[in-house]
Amino acid sequence: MQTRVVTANEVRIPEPVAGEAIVIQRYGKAYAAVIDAATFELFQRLLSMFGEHQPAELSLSNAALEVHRASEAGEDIDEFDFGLLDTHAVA
Amino acid sequence: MSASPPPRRGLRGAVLWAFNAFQPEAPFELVDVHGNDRLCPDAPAVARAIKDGELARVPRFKVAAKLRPLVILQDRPRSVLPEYAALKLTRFTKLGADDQQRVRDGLEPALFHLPLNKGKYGLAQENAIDLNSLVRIHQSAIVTSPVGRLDENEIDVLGRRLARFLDIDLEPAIREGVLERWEQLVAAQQARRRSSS
Repeated sequence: MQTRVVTANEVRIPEPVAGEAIVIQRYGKAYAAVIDAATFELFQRLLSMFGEHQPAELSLSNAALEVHRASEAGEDIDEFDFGLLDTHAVA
Repeated sequence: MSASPPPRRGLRGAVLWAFNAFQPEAPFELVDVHGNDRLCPDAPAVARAIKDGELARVPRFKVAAKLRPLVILQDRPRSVLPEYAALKLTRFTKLGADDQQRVRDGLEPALFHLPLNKGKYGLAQENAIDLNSLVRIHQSAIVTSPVGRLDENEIDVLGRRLARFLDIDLEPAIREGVLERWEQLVAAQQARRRSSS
C-alpha cells in the first residue's frame, strides 16, 4: 500500500486512539478509516508478512524522494576538499 | 622475529570520493560519427540513427560526472573485478526541520543517517546514504583512498535495507532456513528418545 503523508495542519480528524479504528461513513457506507500510528505500523508489518511482496518504491516517503531527486541531480552534496589530493589520493 | 604485517583492509564499508557519471537521459546528447554534437529526443531515435549510420554502433553519449562521496559495498580481494557496487552519500539540508529530524532518528529507512563524525566517516558534514542510489564504480574512477568507514553493524544494517529497496525478498530463504533447523531439532530429539527407551 502506498503511503501519502499529509501534515496534521492540512486535515481535521478525530483524535486517533490506540486500538480503535474510526470509520468515516458517507451515504451510510464506510468511506475511510483512521487508525493510530502504532496500529498502522502493525498493519504494515502484517501486510509485509502475509500479503504479496510489495515493491519498495511504494513505501518511499516524500522526504526520501526529495532527497533522492536532489542527490541524483548532483545537488546538496558535500563539496570535495582538494586538500585530500595531498593526503588521500589513490596511487 | 618480525611481526607479520596487519591484513590489508578492503573497501567494503569504506567512504571515499570518486567520479560518478550521470545516467544518460532523454533528450540524449551524443557525438555522431563525424565528431559533431547530436541531440536525439528518445532512445528509439538513437537506435534509428545507429541504423542509418549517423551514430557509431556503440554511440558516444555526452554525460557529466560528479566527484562525490560514496560508500563502497564490496571487497575485491583478487582484484579481478575492477567494478565496485556503491551507494551515494547526500546531504538532506533541503528538507524541512521535522523531516531532517526523522532522518536523524532513523525513521526514514531509505536514508541511512551518518552523523557528523569526521574521525569515523571522514566527512565535514552530516550525510545520509541513499538506499535507492546503487551505482557501479570502476576502480580507476576512484579519487581518494578511504576517508572513513562504516562499522560492521552499520554495514550489516545497510545490506539488509538494500535488499529491501532492491525488492529482493529474503523471507522465503529465511523461512526455509528456520524450517530446516526446526526439522533437524525434531529429528535429534526423536533420536535421543529412541536411544533412551
